[in-house]
Amino acid sequence: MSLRQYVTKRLLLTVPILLGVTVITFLMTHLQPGDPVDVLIPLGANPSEEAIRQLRRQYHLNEPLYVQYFLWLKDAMVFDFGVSIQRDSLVSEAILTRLPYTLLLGVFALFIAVAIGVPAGIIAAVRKGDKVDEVSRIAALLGIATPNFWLGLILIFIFGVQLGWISTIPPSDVSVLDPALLTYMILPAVTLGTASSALLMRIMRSSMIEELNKEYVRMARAKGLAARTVIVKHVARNSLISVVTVAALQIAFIVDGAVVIEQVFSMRGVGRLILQAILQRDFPIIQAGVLMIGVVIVFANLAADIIYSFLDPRIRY
Amino acid sequence: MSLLEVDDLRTRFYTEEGVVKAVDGLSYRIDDGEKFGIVGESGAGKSVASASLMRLIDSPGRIVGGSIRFTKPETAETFASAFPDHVVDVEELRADHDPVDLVDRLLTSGLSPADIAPDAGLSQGATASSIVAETGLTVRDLVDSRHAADVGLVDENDFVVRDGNDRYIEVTRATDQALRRLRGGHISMIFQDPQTALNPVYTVGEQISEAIRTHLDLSESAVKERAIEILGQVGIPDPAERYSDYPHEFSGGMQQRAVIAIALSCDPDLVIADEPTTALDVTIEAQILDLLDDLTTGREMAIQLITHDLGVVAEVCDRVAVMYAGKPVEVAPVEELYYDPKHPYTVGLMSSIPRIGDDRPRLDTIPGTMPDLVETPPGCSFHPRCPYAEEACTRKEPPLVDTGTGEAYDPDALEGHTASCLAYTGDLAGRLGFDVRVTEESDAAVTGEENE
Amino acid sequence: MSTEDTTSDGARARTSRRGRIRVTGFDSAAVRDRETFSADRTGISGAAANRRTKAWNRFKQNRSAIIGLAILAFMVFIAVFARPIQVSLLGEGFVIQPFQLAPHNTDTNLVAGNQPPSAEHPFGTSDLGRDIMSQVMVGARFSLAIGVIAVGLAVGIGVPLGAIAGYYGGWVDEAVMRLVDILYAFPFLVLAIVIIAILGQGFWNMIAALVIVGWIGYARLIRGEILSVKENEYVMAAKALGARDRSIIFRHIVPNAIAPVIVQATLAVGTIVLAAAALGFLGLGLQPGTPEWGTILSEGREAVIRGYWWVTTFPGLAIVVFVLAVNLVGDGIRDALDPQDEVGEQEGGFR
Ligand code: SF4
Repeated sequence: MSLRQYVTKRLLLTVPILLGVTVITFLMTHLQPGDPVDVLIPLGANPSEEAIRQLRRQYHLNEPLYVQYFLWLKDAMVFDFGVSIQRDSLVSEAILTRLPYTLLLGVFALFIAVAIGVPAGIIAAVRKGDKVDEVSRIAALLGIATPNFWLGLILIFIFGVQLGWISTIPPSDVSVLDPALLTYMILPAVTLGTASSALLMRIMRSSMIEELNKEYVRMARAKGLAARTVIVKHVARNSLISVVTVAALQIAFIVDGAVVIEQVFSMRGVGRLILQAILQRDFPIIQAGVLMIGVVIVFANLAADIIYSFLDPRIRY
Repeated sequence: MSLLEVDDLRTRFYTEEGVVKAVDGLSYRIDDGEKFGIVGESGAGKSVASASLMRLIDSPGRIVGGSIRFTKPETAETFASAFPDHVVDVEELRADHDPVDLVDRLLTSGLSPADIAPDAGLSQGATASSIVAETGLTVRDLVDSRHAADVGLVDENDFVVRDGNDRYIEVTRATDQALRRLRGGHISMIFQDPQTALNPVYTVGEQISEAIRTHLDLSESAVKERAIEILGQVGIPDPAERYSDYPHEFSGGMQQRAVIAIALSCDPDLVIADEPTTALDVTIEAQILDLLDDLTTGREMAIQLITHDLGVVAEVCDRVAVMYAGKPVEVAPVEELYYDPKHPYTVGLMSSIPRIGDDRPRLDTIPGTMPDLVETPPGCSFHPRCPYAEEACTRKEPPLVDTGTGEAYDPDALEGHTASCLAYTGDLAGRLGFDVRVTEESDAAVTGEENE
Repeated sequence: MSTEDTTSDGARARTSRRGRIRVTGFDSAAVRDRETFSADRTGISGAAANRRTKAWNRFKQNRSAIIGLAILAFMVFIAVFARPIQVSLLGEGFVIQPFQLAPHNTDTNLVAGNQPPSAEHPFGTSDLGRDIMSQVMVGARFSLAIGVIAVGLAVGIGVPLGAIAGYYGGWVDEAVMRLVDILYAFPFLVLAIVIIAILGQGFWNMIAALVIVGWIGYARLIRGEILSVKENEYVMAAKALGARDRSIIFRHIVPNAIAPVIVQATLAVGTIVLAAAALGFLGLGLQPGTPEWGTILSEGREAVIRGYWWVTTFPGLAIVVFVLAVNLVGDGIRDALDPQDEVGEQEGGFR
């Protein structure tokens, strides 16, 4: 099988999962107690009978459930989720204008996580059992145990309130790559990346330790290679293969974190939008946001699998 | 000419269960181009002994004593010029120091006379001058011993020793940089399981080239050329094609050929083959042994072959050491060992090999298992499994002696036949009642205890 | 080593010249039959301690795990004795735990709000004038209860489902694992948030959300373990003896596959407490004003910006210490159950 065929096959395998994701997202409005039409009525509004009938027709609520699903899915495919209930804008527009901020935050955080986690994991594994390893273990445990929102608050207090180095509110009305925004983004990204880097470090360490015990390491040393070459070229390369899969899981972890961190730092992002929508019971936005996240994660896993097959020659596609 | 001299090698592992004496007093010689075998069951310490030669012992293991001298003069000379700061010139030392003085320093540093000259049977109160007079200890002997660094005669890292035309590399003192040069370049290793010894994510060719690149100063294209050439020599068809294959695309036998190619790629002086055929099936085993034999004979490389299989030793080796519980129990030329085994353990190993057309009712395997090396049995460590053991065997540890004369083992006497059993020191009341018969061509029977 | 089969190649068969060798008289029976030597008579005891005792002994020697355990014990103690516990039965209230360690009541406003730490209020007071130290102490109840109950229920659902899927395979497996795959497409917290959005807020709704999200991990884990022990001899033996499926799964397979689940579940108590705190912080947890650690922090951003650091610092520290302790214990349990990498714990020596 060629790589192209492998990717196609792997893509086909994601179709049922994607369908499942859409079904669950779709059912959200139907699973909750009460008449589904209730969720389409803005909080506090008291529409007339006629208006409600109009809404039922508009959202096909009189059709059987599966028909409703397919009609919804048809629109969802082109990212049409109708109009937000609470705000006067298209759902797709509300999400797309905020997506870049979330993406930037996520990529920034992932970069920090990898840049710290991978080398720290390598060092800890090589120095297994000594002081360096012990210190990094405690640091990692602390990183995992610290709630990210709390860490964010502490950083705001230290750098924003006490030292006054950064503003405590994000610059408004600037483009995504504006220096002011990028500077503001440092703290949220560090906050978000910390726990991820701790997890990555632990995984990299245990993967390295497993690899270090393998015979090919002794072989590489018996060839006369320098310790650094053995570790970087042979051991780390093998460890990274298994870490790639875990890095995909980190994306879910980072999305989770972004929802919270955007709230902590009052940032305009998709996570905060979804949260606001939940508090306002604006279901079209929630559905669109959640569906998007689900699709992103599915494709991230797909990408990880494909990268994995590139890195590991043993994978037969 | 001698290539490798190992004296009183001791390697230990400091584990939670206690101190494992994996190698406990091993001495032997390997001549240039010689094929030397180390035989024993698993856990006898043979693999650790080999890893010690390359200083591939990781924590919690440590080489705690003994000397490993790599005595090929040309190699030692290249090291001397590459590491001029780590060279000891014995002639200069001789001019500056008096052996009596040095021994005196050792004594005042807290060593006992027995530590300084273990085999001489010196009394506890011997003085420096009497030690030198009695044993004929020279400055060179002191440099060779592990105590040289203790009295400041040589530096902890001085590993190239020069004495007139004599020169050697003391592996136990070699620096990391020197070790890397030694490994792969002068001493190389063939591993037991080729499937795990090859890195799955690099091509076979790259893994050979990597070794060549490390040791030989060649252009990238010359490196590749040499790697392809050696792949061809180890019997891989279409070597230029297979160069860019990954290990999983090779069969088990081909993988082992690739491992051999890596080991031979830089023309080492000594190849350590650690159970090179254990992971392979029988038909391939013979091919691989042939290959190893042919290639090393052609290049005058010495082999140290480690195996649990006496049959493999018979096919390849010139001389053999049998190890039990971290110690050598019998050292002899291979013919002698086969037709006239002296140690009950060796005999046990031989009698436990099944043969075609065997008319014995059952195999006489060695009962029991190898003791754990934290606490070896007292006296002769083989006694719990030895059919001829007596009360005396639990009290006295048999020394390695010449089975003919009863003299202490001299590793330099290459033709000697030595074994460590009380039967050869006259301390055994009974006799070793085994019988080795050679049938077919000649029907001469050789008995096991002719020295009594 | 028999010599006749090596004769084809003279170069190899170094010993083939003198013919076939036969050893007689090496009588291994002699070893079995003889009396033990005097030197060997002592000290051959050492009946192997069973697995659980061994694991416990290893755990005991793990200093950080013991520290973690001590911290957990202390926090449970605080949670129980912070405020009296009352149960009402048949319309009457019984006090089953009369002690009160917390210095102040947590549901009435005491003093002016936002006071910095003082002797009277070591952790300061909140914007509503409540004593934060008391809130943190009582809050331990909520966080610990949420963690333990949610993990317990998730294990209770995930393990049977995963076990059944792994044992039967076929469409049961397909159905369960596809559901797992689909749920895995949603990040943990996002899914929990959505479920709370549907169900509404409250203690049990929060638990429900965390369980619905949490069971999938155990199902996956136990399924994998079961697939690997399914073909073991003892399972085959039980099958051959005609044991019923249910008893095979729960008597033979699950106990042998449960070790990683125990480790995972222990560590998950920490993760769940963190998630619950995040939900509380986002205003999706318990009712506002409940002294749950995350909920106390929900006003944290305003407080911090106005400089009232103590409002956030202490509840947050409580979370950190608790989750850290859980992780120390979880790591300890893992090392105790799976001692494979105990060799080489001394100073590293890699050249
Ligand atoms: S010394 Fe005794 S126990 Fe050891 S091999 Fe000889 S006879 Fe056997």
